Amino acid sequence: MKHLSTLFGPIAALAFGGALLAAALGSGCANPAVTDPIDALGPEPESPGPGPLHRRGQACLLCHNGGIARDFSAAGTVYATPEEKIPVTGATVTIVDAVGHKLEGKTNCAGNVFWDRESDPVVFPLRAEVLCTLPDGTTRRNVMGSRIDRDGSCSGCHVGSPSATSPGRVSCAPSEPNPAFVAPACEGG
Amino acid sequence: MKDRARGVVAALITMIPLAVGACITDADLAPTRSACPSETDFRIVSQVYERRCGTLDCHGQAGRPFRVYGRDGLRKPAKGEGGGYVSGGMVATTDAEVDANYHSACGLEPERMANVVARKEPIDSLTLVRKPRLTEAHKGGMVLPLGSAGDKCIASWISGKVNTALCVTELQRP
Repeated sequence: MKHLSTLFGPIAALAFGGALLAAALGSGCANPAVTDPIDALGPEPESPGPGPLHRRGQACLLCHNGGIARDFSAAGTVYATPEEKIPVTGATVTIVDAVGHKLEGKTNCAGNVFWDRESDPVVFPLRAEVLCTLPDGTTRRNVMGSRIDRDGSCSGCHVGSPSATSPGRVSCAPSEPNPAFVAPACEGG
Repeated sequence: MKDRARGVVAALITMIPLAVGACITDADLAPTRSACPSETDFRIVSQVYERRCGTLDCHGQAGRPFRVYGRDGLRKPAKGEGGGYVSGGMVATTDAEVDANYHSACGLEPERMANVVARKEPIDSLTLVRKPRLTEAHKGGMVLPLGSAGDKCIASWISGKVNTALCVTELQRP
């Protein structure tokens, strides 16, 4: 009996450790610092569904970081004004990184623009500007006053309307121009 | 007996706050002060911190131990002014924000800062110095390399006499 009890001790310990390991693996070892901001984005809307037109105004690189989704170096959405949610199509966004590499892209129908990290890697800090054609045909260039130090998501900082913690949405004009921007009708949107 | 026991317990419970109170002196209740470099000289240093550190994706966040306010970053809610200032707006960094940045810099490691000011520890014992130099792991990378104008600006302020020209040189860098 004595030798059986000494055998049960290590077996019980192994079984307990195995159960702990299984529980940890089953839980996914999730890091709330990573998953909580993603969860806060909410579920994927049915329309337009996953793709270049989706989740405009959200911090793209929370998911597009090579883990869950396609890896972006930078991405964001351009709106009419800092206060309004009217996306702007065809705005030219230019980013220049710390070693002079220049990225240029035009916003799509949802106002989104993005660059793949594989083809367009960047070295921080970045400088950014937006060139828009206003509804009256004139152009307006907005140059970002500060650098982008580490977050390639425009909406990582440009969240909602202007506040103490946000300069407002990335936008073409400080206030609604005359004539006003009209929300584009997107296929699949 | 029961009543007597209750009486003893009640007396003991009554004496506890008296005993504790007898251990607390005026010195315990006085605000804690810690030596820090010049607050007057800090304004130009604050600009360096705002430009290099205080963007909204770095130290321009309320939850940071080293939190930096500034015109192009995080704004400090203004008391009595209803709503405060907007980030990236036209209102320059306020006196209250510079003051908050000063206390943030000094309060990151107050005892160590006091020792550095008293020349009991070297400047690079401070996290405030090591991280931008990247001699300590820093998600923001090497923001102010050792010997750069910005590094020397901050080091000069901590050492007791800020070199304004170096701070301005750093601010003129894109």
